[in-house]
Order: sequence, then structure tokens, then C-alpha cells
Amino acid sequence: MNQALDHWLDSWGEWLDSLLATGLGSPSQATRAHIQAWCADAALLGFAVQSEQAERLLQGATSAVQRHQLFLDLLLEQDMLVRLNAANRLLASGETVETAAIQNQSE
Amino acid sequence: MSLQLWLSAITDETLEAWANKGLLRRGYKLLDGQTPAQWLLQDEHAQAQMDGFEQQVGGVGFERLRCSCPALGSCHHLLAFVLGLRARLASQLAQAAGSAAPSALALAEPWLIADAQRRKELLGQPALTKAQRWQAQGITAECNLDAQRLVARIDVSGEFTLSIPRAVGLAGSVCSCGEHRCAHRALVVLQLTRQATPEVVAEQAEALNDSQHQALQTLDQWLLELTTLGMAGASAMLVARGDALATTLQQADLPLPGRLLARLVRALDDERLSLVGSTVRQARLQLAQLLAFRRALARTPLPQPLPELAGVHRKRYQPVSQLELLCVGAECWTTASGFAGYSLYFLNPSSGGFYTFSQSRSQALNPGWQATQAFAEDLFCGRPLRHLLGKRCQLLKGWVSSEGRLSGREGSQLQVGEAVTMEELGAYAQSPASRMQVFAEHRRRWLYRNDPQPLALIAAHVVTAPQFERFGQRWQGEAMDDTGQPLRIVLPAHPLTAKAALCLSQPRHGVTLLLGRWTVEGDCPTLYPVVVIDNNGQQLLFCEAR
Repeated sequence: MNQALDHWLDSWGEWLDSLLATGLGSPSQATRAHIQAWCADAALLGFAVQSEQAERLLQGATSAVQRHQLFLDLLLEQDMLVRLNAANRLLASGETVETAAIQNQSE
Repeated sequence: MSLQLWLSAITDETLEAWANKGLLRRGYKLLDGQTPAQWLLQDEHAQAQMDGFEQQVGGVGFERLRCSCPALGSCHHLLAFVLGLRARLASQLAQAAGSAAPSALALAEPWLIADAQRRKELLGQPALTKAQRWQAQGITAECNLDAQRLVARIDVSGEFTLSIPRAVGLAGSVCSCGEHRCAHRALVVLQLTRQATPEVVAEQAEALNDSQHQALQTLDQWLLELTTLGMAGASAMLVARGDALATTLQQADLPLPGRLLARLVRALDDERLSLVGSTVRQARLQLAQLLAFRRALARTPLPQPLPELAGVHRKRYQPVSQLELLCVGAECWTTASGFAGYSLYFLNPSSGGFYTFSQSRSQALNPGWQATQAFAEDLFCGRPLRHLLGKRCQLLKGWVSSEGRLSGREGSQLQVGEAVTMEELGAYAQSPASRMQVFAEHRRRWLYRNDPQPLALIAAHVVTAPQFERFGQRWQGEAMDDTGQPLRIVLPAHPLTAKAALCLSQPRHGVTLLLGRWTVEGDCPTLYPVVVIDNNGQQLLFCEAR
């Protein structure tokens, strides 16, 4: 689960980078395919809202301002989830350090 | 009767806050030869004559005190007048049997004012508006109550003390700001009334002023252009406007968003010019951090106090005195966003926390400024920086930010003592648990920053010498701390890195301390060392000034 989440978060960051590099007006075919594949994983991982937002980014009917807002929402969301994930890792590593210290003491 | 209650409740501290210590002393001296029992004292009026001048008071409050002497405001005649009346009332009270009235009044809470109209009459709309803004900015008063009065400490652009007597309330209050109706009083009234009965204080204010709103709206427009055009389509004009907007944010008292925008603009410019090391990912992380602060600043009330979201200009750092500091090292550095600077690091032995004195410049705007040269020539409190290394110091008077940045502004005074021994420093080495605690505290406090890297002093030895990592463009090695925890050692690309790697890999005897920035990368505790401390003293890894 953790690996799948890590991979999905990385993939999210990658297409955000692609969009930030080229601009939101005309995403390349490769970026579109990337986002669509990511949306499918998002649905599997239970991130339906984010998946729906990303799909709206690609729709022609979405205005430039709406697209900008969606992009910023998704960018912040990804950043927050990455940091949350890092914090969870940190807690886990803290527990590992603590367990090791207790083991050292008992030996 | 309220005049007499007020006079009875006045303390020397209150008089000192209203006038000053010198006038209070002179007031006591003048009172020596007087007979207050002969003065006129009625329910709402009192009158006396001293030194050929007439003193009188026509109700509760220092603003109602008058003296016919030529002094403006408070004078020693008025101090003697108040002291004499207070003494007379105290002796009357001692003589009177069964004085139940003051104990009944001891429970009064005149600072709780539920009626909005009454608050407006007593405090004035401008003071209330200012206090509401402070509340929205997360500023609170620290209130202490006793049987006689409320004493509040308010820390906003300086420290102020407000005293409100229970007996007569706001009319008899005194604030160290010197005003009769001030926002400090309004803040205390709003804060305590809201705590007691939240439903009666519904007024909410915006935390930001008009120029701050305007600067942030311009930022929104600039971000819209950036995302629409993309980094590939960004022009030199967009970069220049970003630079100008960063300055505007700084000038609008939003230095932190201003700094973050400046970094984003540098990352954008580097990418635009296809400079080595620049990446879109780097720019995205900068953008995410800026955006997090921008959105937090849009909320009412703010999710964190304004100084933590907007930053604090160096001129507004808080004063400190008698702060003990051990100077544990220094470094010269450059950032990916185009800044260069130096930092001098101090450890506070009481708290174990770190303090930093830094200077930095944008390399694009100051091409002639060299951090190494500045470090060699600059002074902190009149002392050359390199003379402080390894020394025990005491900051007799100075200014510091909530992040532990020292300002070194004029008026700062530093006493420099003897060299700190290795044994003493070793006692401050952090355990893995305390490092984790500091890291978590950074994460909690700086909720919207994406990369907490607190300073850490770790007793550790290098087990694998740092080697250049081609793909990461950095040097990486391995160390083991004295509890047996492995640490990844990372040295960023820097002209001195090869030398630093060599220094780290030299065999050492006895305890070795590493000072650096500590973080967790992936699952691995990671240290970015800047100083090695052993029995030979401090070896600065990124500074050639010694």
C-alpha cells in the first residue's frame, strides 16, 4: 500500500511539473495520457475528488481561471500529502529508533 | 464613592506606569511634610495645596487629575496628592470596624463588557477596530488576576502592561503606553468578554490591512499568468515583475511571502535561462510553499499568528537581555535560488536551542558581494565574527526573532568570555529522541514550510567517507552517532565540498561532535554537517575565514 501510494504521489508530482513547465493552456498528449493513467490509480486508491479535479483540468470547457484554481488546489494537495506521508515515515522511524534504544538497554 | 475606591486600589506599580520611578520618589519625598487629613476629600472630588500649587481630582481616572504647576501631564505634586489620599483612606479603613465592602468588590470583573455600545463608549471605535485586527492576527494578552486587579501583558510592537482595578474598572486603569483609551485595553476587554460569553462578541475583523490585501491580489494575478504561460513561456518581463512584487510584499509587511516569491522567481529565471541544476520540480516546491502561506493569510481568523505567516522584519525583533550563548560554528552558503550569505551559530545552554546571526545578498543584485569576505570583515556587537568562534558569550542586550535569528542592530551589547571546553559542549549533544522532538516541533510550528531542517549537535563518527554522487550532484557518506544510530551525511555542491569531505573522513580520537542541519530523507536520518568539533577545536567545513 505504501509503495503504491509513494508511486502515485511521485506520478502526481511529475504531471504537475509537466503542466507547470508548458502552461495549463495546452498540455501535451503525453501529459494528458499521464494524467488519465494517474486518475485511474487515484480512483483505485480512493482519491475520487482529486481524480475528478484532474479530469476537469483537461476538459476544453474549463475556463483559464478555473483551470488555474484547479491546478493550484491539486498542487497544494499533492504537497500536503507528500509531507503527511513524510511525517508518517518519520513517526515510524522514531518508533524504530525508540525500539532499538530499548533493545540496546535491555541487552 | 467610586473615587475613593479607585484611590484605595492604586498601587505604586500603577503610579510608576502612569508617571515614572523618579516622579514617584519625588512624590513620596514631598508628601513627607504634608498633612493629607486636612485636605478636602468628598465622594467625587478631592483637593489639596502643595508647594504653592493647587491639586484636584474630579472623578475616577488619571486623566481627571489636575495641578496648577506648569508641568505638562504628571508631576510630583500629583503623585504626592494621590499617595496622600491613598494613605488617608487606608488609615480610615483601618479605623472603621467590619469593612465588608472591599471584599464584596473583590469579585467584580469590570473588564467583562457584554454590551457592544457600552464597549464603544468606553474604549472608542478606533481602539476596538485595532484590537479586533490584533485578535484576527492571533495576538493575545497574557492576563493575571488577583483580588484587587487585573494585570495584562500585551506583546505587540513592544511590550505593554495594563492594570485594571476591580473596584472602578476601566476608568481607573492605567496602561504603559500612556494613553487613556487604547487598543491594549480594548484587546483585554474583547478577549476576556469573548472567553466569558462568546455569543456577545460577534465582531470579526480582517487580519490584513488594505495594502497587504492589494499586494496579495497582485500576487494572485502574477501566479495566474505563470500557470497559464508555464515556465517555458515565461518572459523576462514576468521575472522582473515577480522581483518587483517580492519587494512590494516586503514593503507591505509581508516579508516571508516576499522572500518565498523571490526564491520562486529565481528558480523560474534559472529554468528560463536553462542554468545547470535548475529543475521544474524545484520551482513547484517553491510555488507550493508560497501558495500555502498565501492561502493561510486569506483565512479569518488566521490559522496561526500573523508574525508566523507574514514573517517579521529585522527591525521588529523582540528585545532580549542576559542571553547566554556558546558560539558553536559558522558557514558560508549559497542557495539554489541565487542567494549567498554566511551564518554564525550559537547554542543557548539553558534551552539547548540555537540562535543564528546571518547576512545574505541576492547574487544577481549584488555581484560584488562575497560571503567569505563579508564573514572575515563583519562585526557582531562590535566584535569580529571569527573572534567569537568557540567562545562563551553573553548577549547583555539584543534583539531576536521567534525563529532565533539575532539582529545585531546598533545598541546590541555582547560580553565575550573564555573558550568553551569540549567536555561542556559534549553535554549538549542531542540524542535521537530529542532530535526527533525538535524536528516535530519545527513541523508543528512552521506548518506551511515544506522542509524543516533544524540545527543539531550530534556526537558521531564518520564510518564511510563522503563520495560524490553523480546523479544527485552532491556528496554522500555515512556516520554513526554515539547511540549506534546510523546517519546519512550529505554535503551539497559547494566550492569547498571536496575539502569538507576530506576533513570529515580524517580519523579522530575521542568524542567528535558534528553540527549541522538535521532532517529525515526517505526513511533515513540525514545530517548536512557544517562544523566538526573535536579536541583540536572547531573545523568549519564551509568557511575559509580562519
